[in-house]
Amino acid sequence: MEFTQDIIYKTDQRYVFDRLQHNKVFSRFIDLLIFSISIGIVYDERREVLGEERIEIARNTLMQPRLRKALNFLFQTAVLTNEDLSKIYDDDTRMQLAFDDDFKVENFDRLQFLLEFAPFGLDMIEERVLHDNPGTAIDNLEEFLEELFQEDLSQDIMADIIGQDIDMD
Amino acid sequence: MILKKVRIENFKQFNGAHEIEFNADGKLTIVYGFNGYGKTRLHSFFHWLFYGQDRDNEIIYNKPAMKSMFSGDEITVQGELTFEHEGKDHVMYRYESFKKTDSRAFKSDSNFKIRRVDQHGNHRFVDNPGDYIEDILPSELSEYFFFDGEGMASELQGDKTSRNHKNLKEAVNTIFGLKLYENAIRDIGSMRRKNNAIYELSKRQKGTRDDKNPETLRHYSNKKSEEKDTIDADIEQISSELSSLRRRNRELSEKIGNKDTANTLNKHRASLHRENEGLEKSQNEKIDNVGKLVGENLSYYIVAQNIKKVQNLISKKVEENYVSGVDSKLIKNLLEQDSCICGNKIGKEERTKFEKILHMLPPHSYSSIFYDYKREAEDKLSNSDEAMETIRNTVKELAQIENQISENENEIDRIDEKLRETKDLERFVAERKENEQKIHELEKKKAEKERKSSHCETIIKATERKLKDLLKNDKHNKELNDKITFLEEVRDSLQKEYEEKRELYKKELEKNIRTMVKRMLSARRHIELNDNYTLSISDSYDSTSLSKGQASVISFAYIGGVLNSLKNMDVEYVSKKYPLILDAPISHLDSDHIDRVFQHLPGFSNQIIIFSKENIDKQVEADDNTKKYVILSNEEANQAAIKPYASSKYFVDETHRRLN
Repeated sequence: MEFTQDIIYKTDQRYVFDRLQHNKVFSRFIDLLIFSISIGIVYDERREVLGEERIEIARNTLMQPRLRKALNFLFQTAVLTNEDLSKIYDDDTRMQLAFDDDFKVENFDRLQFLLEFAPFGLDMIEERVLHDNPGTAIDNLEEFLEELFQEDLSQDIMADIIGQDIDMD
Repeated sequence: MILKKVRIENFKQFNGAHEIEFNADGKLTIVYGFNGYGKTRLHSFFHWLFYGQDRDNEIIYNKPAMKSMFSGDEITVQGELTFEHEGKDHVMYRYESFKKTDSRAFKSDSNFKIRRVDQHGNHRFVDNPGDYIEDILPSELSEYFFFDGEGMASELQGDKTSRNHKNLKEAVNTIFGLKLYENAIRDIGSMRRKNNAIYELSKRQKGTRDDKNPETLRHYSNKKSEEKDTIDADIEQISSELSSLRRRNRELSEKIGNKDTANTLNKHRASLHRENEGLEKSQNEKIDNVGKLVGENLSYYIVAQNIKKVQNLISKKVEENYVSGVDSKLIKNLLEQDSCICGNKIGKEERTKFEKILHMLPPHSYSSIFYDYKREAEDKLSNSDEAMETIRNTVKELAQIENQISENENEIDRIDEKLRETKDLERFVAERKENEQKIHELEKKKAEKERKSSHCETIIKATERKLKDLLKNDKHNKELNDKITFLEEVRDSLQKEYEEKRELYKKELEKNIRTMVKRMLSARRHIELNDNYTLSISDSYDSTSLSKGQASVISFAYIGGVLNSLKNMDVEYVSKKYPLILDAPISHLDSDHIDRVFQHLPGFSNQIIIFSKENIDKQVEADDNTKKYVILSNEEANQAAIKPYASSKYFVDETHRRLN
C-alpha cells in the first residue's frame, strides 16, 4: 500500500483525539488512528467514516518507515481477515489486493477501506480509555490493552512463524 | 415572692379591667402578643405596680377613654397583685386617679397599700408598703427580674452606650447581699470622707490649742483624701487596662511561640513546588511516550489473532500454488512462445490456462509474500512484549509520581494554612508590640499616679497624726477617739469579709454563667466575668462579636447563672424566691436556641412569666399546666384586652387577635 498524498480524515469523533491530545496521551493523531484501526480489525467492525471535522496526517508522516509499515501491515491483515470482503472476493483476489499495489479492483479504495476500521476503534477508546485526568486515562489504556492482548496467541504465532520451514524461491 | 393573680385596669391601652392568674407551682405562664399589642406596656405595668413609676415615662391612663370623658370626670388606673411571700398571702394595691379639665388631665389622687394575711387569717395593712416591697424585691433589681432580653444583652457586655452598667454591679451585689456590706462600710466611713459615723465623731472633737484649728486640718485631710480617691480611681482604671493588655499579650505570645517563621515555610514551599514541577515534567514525558508506543508497536500485538489467520491463509496458498521454478516471468515467457519447452504446441486452451495462472500470481511468489509478512510480524511482535512492559512500568511510575505530587500538594496546602496563620502571626506580633508600648506608657503613668497617691497618703496620715496629737490630751476627745477606733475595727472587719465573699460569689457566678452558656448556646464561647459583673466574651478566634440571638441567649444564661448561684449560696438574708418576668426575649433566637433556652428555663426560678410574640407552644407542649393568655388589640393599637389563649389560630389568622 502506497501513500501518495496526505490523509484527510473527516470525522464526528474529533473530540476523542482532542481530549487525549490535551492529556498528552496521544499527541499524534496517527498513533491514535493506528490504535483505532487495530481495534476495528480485531473486532472486524467497519463502518463509513462520517463527519465534518478534519484531521490531517501529512504524507511525510506517513512515509516514516515504522508508521508506513504498520499501516501497510494492518491493511494486508484487514484485507485477508475481513469477513465482508471474503464474501465478495476469493482468496486469490484478496491476496492480490493485499500484496500487489498495482492490482486494481473496481470501487475498492485501499485507504478508504483501512480507515473504515477506525470509527469503531474510536468508539471503544472513548468508552474504555477516555478521561480528562492523564493518569486515569493511562491506567484505563493499560487495562484495555491487557484485555486486547492475548499473550498465548502471540507466543503461538511467534513460534509458528519462526519455526516454519518454507522453501524460498 | 410568688405572684398569684394580677388585675390591671385602665393602664395605657388596657382599657377596663383584665386579669391574669399565674402558675404558682413552678410552671410557666405565657402571655402572647403581637408587636404593638402592648406586651412591653404590660411588662412595665408590673414596674409601676411595684414601684409607682412608669419606666417609659408615658401617660399611664387610657387615652381614648379619657378623650371620651367630660370635663370634671375622673379615670382611675389601678392594679392589684395577689402574692405569697414567706408563706403569707399578700394583696398589693396601687391606684392613681386622673381628673379631666378643659385643657388637660391631672393626677387627682393616688394610693399604695399592701395587706398581709396573718396567722389567724386576718388582713392587716403593712406599714410603709414602699419600704416593704423594696425589702422583698429591691427596685434596683427590678430590671433583672422584669427582664428585657435585648436591653440587657448589651449591658452584660459592658457596652458603654447601653444603660449605665453600674446598675448591673449594684443589682448583683444586692442580690448576693453584698450591698449590705457596702452600705455598712460606707456608713461607718472614715475621717477622710464626709457624711459618715467616724467623720461625725471626729467632728465633735475639739481643739485645745488656738494656733492649730482642727477644722482646718480636717478640711485639709478631706481635700487630700478626695484628691487621693481620684488618683486611686485612675490607678484602678490603669491597672485594669494593664491587666487586660498583659492578658492579651500572654495569649498572643502563646500563639506566636508555636509557629514556624514565614521565611522557613516559604523556602520549604518553594522547594516542594520545584519538585512538583520536575515531577510533572517527567510525568508528561512518560505520558507523551505512551501514544507513540501504542501506535508504532502495539498494533501488531492487538491484531495477533488476525495475523494467525493470515498466516494460515498464506500457508494454504503456498501449499496450493507452490510449483518450484514457476513464477510470473516464466509464464509470461511461455505466453510469448508457440510451443512449450517440452515441445508440445501451446494452443488456445493452454494459452488461456497460462493466462489464468499468470493472473493468479502476484509480483512475487506466495512464499516470498509469506516471508515478507512473517518478517514484519516477527519483528514487531518481538518488540510488542517490550512495549507492553514499558507501558506497564510507565503506569506504575506515573502512579508513584502522581502520589508524590499529591503528597507534595498536601504539604503545600498545609504550608499555605500555616502561612495564613503566619499572616495572623504578623498581625499578632504587631499587636503585641503595640501593646508593649502601651503597657510601657501606662506603667509610667501608673507609677506617677502611685507616687502622687502615696504622697497624698503621707500628707493625710501626717495631718491625721497632727489632728490626733492636737486632740489627744482632752478626755472628751479620748472617748471619741476610742469610739472611732472601735468603728474603724468594725469597718475593717466588714471590709475583709466583704472582699472574701465578693470573690467567692464572683467565682460561683462565673462558673454558673459558663455552665448555662455551654448548655444554651450552640457555638462555643469563652466567658469571663469582670469585676463590675459585665462579661468578656470571645470565640476561639478571639472575636468578641455576637449576633443578636447569641447576645439574647447569653442574657438568659446570665440570669440563669445568677439565680442558680443564689440557690447554691448560703445567703440567709437574701430572699431566694424571685419571680422572673421576661419580655420578648426570644425574638432573635433560631428554633434550636429557643429549644435550648426552654429546656433550661424552668429551672431558673420558681415562677416564670413570659411575654412572647413567637408561638412557643411546641417548647412547652409537654407541660399541660402552662397557663396561657393572649393580648387582643384594635387596629389602631390603642385599646387592648387580655383573654385566655384559645388556639394557635391567634398566630395565623388576624381575626383571632383583633379586639372587636
